[in-house]
Amino acid sequence: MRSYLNDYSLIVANNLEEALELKNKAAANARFIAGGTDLMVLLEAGKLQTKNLIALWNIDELKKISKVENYLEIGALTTFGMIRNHALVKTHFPLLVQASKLVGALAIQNRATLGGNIVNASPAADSSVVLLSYDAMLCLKNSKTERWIPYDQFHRDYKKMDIHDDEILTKIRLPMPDKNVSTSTFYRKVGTRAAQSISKVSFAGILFKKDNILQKVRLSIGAVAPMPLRLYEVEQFIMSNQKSIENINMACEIMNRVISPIDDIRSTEKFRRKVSSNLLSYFLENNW
Amino acid sequence: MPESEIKTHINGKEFRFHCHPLSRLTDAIRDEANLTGTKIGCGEGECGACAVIMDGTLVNSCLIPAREANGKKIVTIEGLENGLGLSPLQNCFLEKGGAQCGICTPGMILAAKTLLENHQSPNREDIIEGISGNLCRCTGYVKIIDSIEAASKLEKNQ
Repeated sequence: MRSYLNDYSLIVANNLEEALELKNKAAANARFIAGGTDLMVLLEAGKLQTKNLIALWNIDELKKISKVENYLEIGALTTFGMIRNHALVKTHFPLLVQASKLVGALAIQNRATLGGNIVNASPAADSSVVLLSYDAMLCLKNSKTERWIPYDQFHRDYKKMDIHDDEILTKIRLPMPDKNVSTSTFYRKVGTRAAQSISKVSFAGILFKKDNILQKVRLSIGAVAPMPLRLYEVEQFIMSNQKSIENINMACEIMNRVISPIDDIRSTEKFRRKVSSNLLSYFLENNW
Repeated sequence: MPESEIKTHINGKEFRFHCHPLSRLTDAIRDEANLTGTKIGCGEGECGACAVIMDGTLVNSCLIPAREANGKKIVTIEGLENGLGLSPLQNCFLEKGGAQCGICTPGMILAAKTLLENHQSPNREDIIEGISGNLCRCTGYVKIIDSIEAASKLEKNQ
């Protein structure tokens, strides 16, 4: 059932300072709207709890991608359409291009923002596993100050994040890859359709090798826990053991102890565990 | 909440109306501008029937608050024909049988237009990706892809 629009208010912020001022005054009674691809769906279904919206669509300073020091910096209001086409992303962060191409469909990518995807905090979010494996950092700003946190510290529980009522996510940074280190990368979103689907399981894996010796491994998985997960225990196991069929199976066993998939409208715990193991095995067989 | 005045350009003409700022752009296009070529299929950005081109990019108008369209240039399906009749892309859909009930067709054609503007010579896979946000319940998509393929070959000869 559609919402009664007169219960809702919308103010358009002209710049970042104004957005923060408005949010300060309203605190938890208002929320930000960026591309609208999550919130307008809720509004349409009569399920948007917060009645006061602060629109961010005029804040151009947050809609860009640039190299800053040794990082790629992506403004929180950058759309997936912009991200998938950007030369620096295509060259240095191919998994982010792949994930962006699988967000909804083109018409959604042209509106949906990276910041919105992060803050909406769906455990099945498409960008999350890629950002985790790329060691992303988030910038959170309020009217007085700003702070940077590693993205793997951001999600605490289902839709519970390290962001305060007076803060806004402004920027996302990805460390530029080391030219002397080669990487094998893999991203897979398992869903019902080639487009316009929400993942049942998503996985992003990166192996870093120098002179054919394993330096670092990053394994992240989505839709199998209340929030997207870095598989730290599996990573440690890979770093301290040799590749073998037994060890690949053991890696899957370790993973299955830390994930907690559920039965829901999209899939079952059993299917998700099986597919997670298949994805991890595939990645390790082909890249380790 | 008082209504907002929205001033926008649709198919090259300036258009003004008043509505709640969170009304859907689709409703403004259909009910205020009386351009009913843009359809509402799912109302949640999944089917592409409401697709329009806003400031040069393909978007699902059912997810756009009317207030955001203030100052923007919008192209709907009605904007494709010129004084001489249907556009070459639209004619290809006619010739190749790319429409049955026609509900998906406006969104489908705008997605095709976007694809052809960004791709010199799309192959069938490119075409399929370009329309992957548009659902059709009638045709099985084959003739839609044929129509777009024909249009892409036409453009080369122009």
